[in-house]
Amino acid sequence: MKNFSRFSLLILIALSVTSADAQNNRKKAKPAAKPKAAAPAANPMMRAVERAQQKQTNRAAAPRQQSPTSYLQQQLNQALAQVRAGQYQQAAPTLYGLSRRKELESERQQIKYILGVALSEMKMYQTAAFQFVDVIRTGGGKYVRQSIERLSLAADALGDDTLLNYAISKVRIDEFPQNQKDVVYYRLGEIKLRNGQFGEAAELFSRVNANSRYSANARFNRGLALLESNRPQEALQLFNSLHQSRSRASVTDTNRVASQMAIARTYYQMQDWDKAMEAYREIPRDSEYWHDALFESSWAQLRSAKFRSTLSNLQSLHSAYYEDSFIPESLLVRSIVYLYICKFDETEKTLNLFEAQYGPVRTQLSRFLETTRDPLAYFQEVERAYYIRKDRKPNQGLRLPYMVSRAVLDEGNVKRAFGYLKALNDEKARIEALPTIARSPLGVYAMKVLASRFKNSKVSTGDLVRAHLLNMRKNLNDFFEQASFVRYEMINGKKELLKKKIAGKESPNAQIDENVDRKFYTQNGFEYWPFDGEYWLDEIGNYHYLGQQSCE
Amino acid sequence: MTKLFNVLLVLLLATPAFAAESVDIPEEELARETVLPRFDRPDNVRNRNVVTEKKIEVGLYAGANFTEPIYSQAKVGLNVGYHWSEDAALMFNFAKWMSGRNSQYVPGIEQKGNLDFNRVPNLEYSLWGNYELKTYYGKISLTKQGVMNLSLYPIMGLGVTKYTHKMYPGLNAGIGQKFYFGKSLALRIDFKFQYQQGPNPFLKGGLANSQPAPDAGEFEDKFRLDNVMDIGLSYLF
Repeated sequence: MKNFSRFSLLILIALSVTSADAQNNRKKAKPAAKPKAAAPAANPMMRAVERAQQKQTNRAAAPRQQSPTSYLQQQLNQALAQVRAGQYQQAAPTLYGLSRRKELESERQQIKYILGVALSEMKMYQTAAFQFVDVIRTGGGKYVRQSIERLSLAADALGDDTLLNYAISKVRIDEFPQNQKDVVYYRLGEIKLRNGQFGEAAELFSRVNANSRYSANARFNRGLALLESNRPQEALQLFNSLHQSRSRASVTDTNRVASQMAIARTYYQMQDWDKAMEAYREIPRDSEYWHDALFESSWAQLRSAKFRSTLSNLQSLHSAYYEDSFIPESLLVRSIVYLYICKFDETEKTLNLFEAQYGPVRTQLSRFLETTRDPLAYFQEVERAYYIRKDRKPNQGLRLPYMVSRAVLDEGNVKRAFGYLKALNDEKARIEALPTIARSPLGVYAMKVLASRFKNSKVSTGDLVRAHLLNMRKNLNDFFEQASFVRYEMINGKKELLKKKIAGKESPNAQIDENVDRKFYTQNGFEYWPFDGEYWLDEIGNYHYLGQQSCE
Repeated sequence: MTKLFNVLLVLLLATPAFAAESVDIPEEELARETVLPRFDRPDNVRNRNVVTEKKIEVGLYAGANFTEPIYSQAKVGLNVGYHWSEDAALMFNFAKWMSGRNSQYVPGIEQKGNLDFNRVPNLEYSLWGNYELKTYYGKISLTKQGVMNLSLYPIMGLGVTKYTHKMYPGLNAGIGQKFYFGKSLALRIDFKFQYQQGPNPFLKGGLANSQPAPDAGEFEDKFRLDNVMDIGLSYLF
């Protein structure tokens, strides 16, 4: 958004300089006189306003012919002057009215473009975007390219993928001004990344200028694309440089933590478990990535056969603090670790817990998917969960388990969709706060546009939600299948144990290591608390499993 | 990850036995940060051992007024209250004061001044209604495997004290601490400052053995500040 405001500031400065000249020209102009050549305009929008004003100036200066359009031309002239003066609130309703007049059909593209710019300046991006789309669709005019530029900026501000894709599909990057190419490269890269075209995505991200505000995100996404292309060494280099570039930022800085997380994931992909664990440990506890780091590092620990450490982490993940988190996989991991260390009773308890916790989730999820067809119902269900989470309300009145809706809300595309809806809401509030616009036909039109966008976005978000739910159900079914496999192994293990018991070869059934000296824990200021079923916020992440393996 | 399960299970089947694993917690796994993880609902504690919300508490206690020079300092009593949330409770505290006089000071004063403090109206019982703000819930580990929960709560309330002839008002404020043995039973220790009215036992001429005994109503009413401590056991129902 900074670029946007800087851009508008430039317009204002340039307009304030040129507006006095234009006024003087109008006063002095003679019918046959050619307009005085103005200095080259600083940007496309200013050029458009100047061109329009110049045209109107010439017409106004022509011998009075009382044409039916003269009044409209006067109005247009006045509106353009208002845009020049930065009086967008006054100009926009007039421009909107004029854009619908047949008499000004030849100027329609120009008027719509300027209206779009004025609306953008008032941060009414959605309504503005519609003006630009109109210009682009009509095509052929000289405002198409400028409208594409403006549309891509408005879509970027809104976070609307549909609009953005539309704008990007029309883009010819070489025609874009240098300072706005970064957004196009970045967004194009995102689209390619989403479509699984990782090589092209990486290439596009690499084109984003290092000074651009998209630079950090582009480098990060490039790293992701490289990882997906199975080029972890290059990705690691990139993530490391990104992390170093944020070394002065606060420890919980999103980019810094995200790059650290990416480093850990890269090592994981490279199957360098020790380095992955080390990198995961660097994720600050008060960062939102920490929960993922805890779970993912458990996998790294498991794969490097650090069973005690894995169970220590899982003790945190299975605490009451995660009762709203959809992490069925973690319970299966736990049961597998218990199986590894021949703790068959614990394996059974964990499997029972898995079935008790996720069995009803699977049932509810399936019932919801089978009985609900309307995408709006999917959206509304997740929206309720959104407000429960945001306002910390009790988990009531939901058809789906809260943990499921919450997990869906954390999905990237659903998050973006909610961000877009918020942007629409903000725009609605801005319009309502401007009486000159709200009461005008432009206001009515803008509200209609927003209402339509609200409806369509809710439907498309509902479709996204349904797709995620279907995926979750599929995964859950897979997990249940795995659970039955683990249960089979557990029964087998129990049978073997029983055989040994009958044969008198039973090993002592020590549950915890009694030989561990408490001094070990209290040295260096550490305190030791035996776990007694109560979970404390300051203990999450600090559990240490002291059980012994029971295999002979 | 699903495929990985299969891989892990295959590995498991291929490795029927493991060498004994010694418990050794690497230094790098010990806590390095003092910050707290972020959750949607960052409650300090979940799955608490001691749940007090919507529970009735009943307790017996013994106590003493340490600054009482004339009357007996000792009392026994009963606490009954209701916890309407994990943060607040209303407790009624009934105390029966021991009869007699303070054996540490009174005999000496009586002997020296030829006085009789038995003429002073008797302190019988008191009843207080206290609001308890349960500000702190924690735990302490005193043995290798034992954990005890704690609760610390400021107390404030109003009450009355009954003497032979009259009922006197008062207000108190203090702090209490509970040490839980399990989920319901607790050792309860309350310390309070009580600012209350009562008869001034030092009635000029009225206590002298040589003078006729005064009526209880002749003793002047006076506000005083006492330090009271109660120790007892309480149980949550």
